[in-house]
Amino acid sequence: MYDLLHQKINEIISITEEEFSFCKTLFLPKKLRKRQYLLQEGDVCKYTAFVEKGILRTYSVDDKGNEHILQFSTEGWWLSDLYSFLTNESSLFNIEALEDCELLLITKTSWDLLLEKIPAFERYFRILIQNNLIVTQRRLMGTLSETAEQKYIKLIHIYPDCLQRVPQHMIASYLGITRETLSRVRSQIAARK
Amino acid sequence: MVKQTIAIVGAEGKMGSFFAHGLAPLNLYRLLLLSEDEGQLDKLSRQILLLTPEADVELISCLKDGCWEADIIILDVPNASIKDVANKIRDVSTQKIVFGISKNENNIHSPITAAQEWQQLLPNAKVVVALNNLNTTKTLIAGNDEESVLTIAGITKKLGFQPIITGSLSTIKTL
Repeated sequence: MYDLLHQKINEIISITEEEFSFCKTLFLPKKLRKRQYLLQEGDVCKYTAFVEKGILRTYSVDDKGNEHILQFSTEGWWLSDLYSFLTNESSLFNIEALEDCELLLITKTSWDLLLEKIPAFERYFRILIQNNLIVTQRRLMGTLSETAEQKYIKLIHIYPDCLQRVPQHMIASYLGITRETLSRVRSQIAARK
Repeated sequence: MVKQTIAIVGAEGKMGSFFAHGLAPLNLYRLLLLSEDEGQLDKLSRQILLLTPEADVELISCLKDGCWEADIIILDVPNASIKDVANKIRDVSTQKIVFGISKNENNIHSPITAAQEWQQLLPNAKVVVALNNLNTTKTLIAGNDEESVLTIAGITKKLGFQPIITGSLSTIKTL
């Protein structure tokens, strides 16, 4: 249940077996079925989640009812609405399981305890947040300046198995393009191969 | 709002079925009913759905899977089965509220002992215990995690009880 978490932590910091045993006691193991929600808009995000198995999407809904997908999270990823998690304010996002998922959830209280007891986790989460900031900046720039094809190629790079696991309309939503444009981009790429 | 999932282990028991029948019509929670007695469970589920067709209720035969999905675990388990059930759910109950309910007909100390045993066997779960004999609305509630105690007090209140929070599991011993 904790193998992937252990592996991912060890890729960044080194902790003892004893420290990892303590770390495990702070996580709430949660199975989520396909189409169930971890978070809904308006709720306070009580957890930061580590994905052991499955794929989820984080999205918001605009005034016209259109969904905008911010990110997909697959095995080995962390996800949360960090603003809501840290401030206890209502979230703007929905987090939905796109497959049956196995998650490890941690509350703010347990997270603080983890950082206090094992300071190496300060470094671990700093690096994660740093990486996330870089990805978010690049995604923002991509949204502002890249062509649909460039965005699509980048998506395949970030989420290699995404195309098999996520419906096309959600991929289009993530890229901020219409389904028709996505279909055209895919045809163009296929034609060049 | 995301519906919390409550697993009721021993849902066919007196208190287990009381909670299942009480919580289902509220439609505030997703209920997973668990028991080894599938026949009784099926009967209970049909009764609930007859009275509340829109109830979000599901039968689960695997104890571990049901508790893995749950946010809150309610246990109506005979004392003799505590160890066995705890062994099955230990890995998936970490940081979850485990609410031990038990009828308190003859021996006031038995639910207390059971709660302490649950906490010992599930050291990383947040065990909460309630004492009530169903003849009064007043219910004593204790647990070592304050937030979990408040959550359970809220649930019992929705079922028409008057929760009286006593404090940690050790405080209830002195009542």
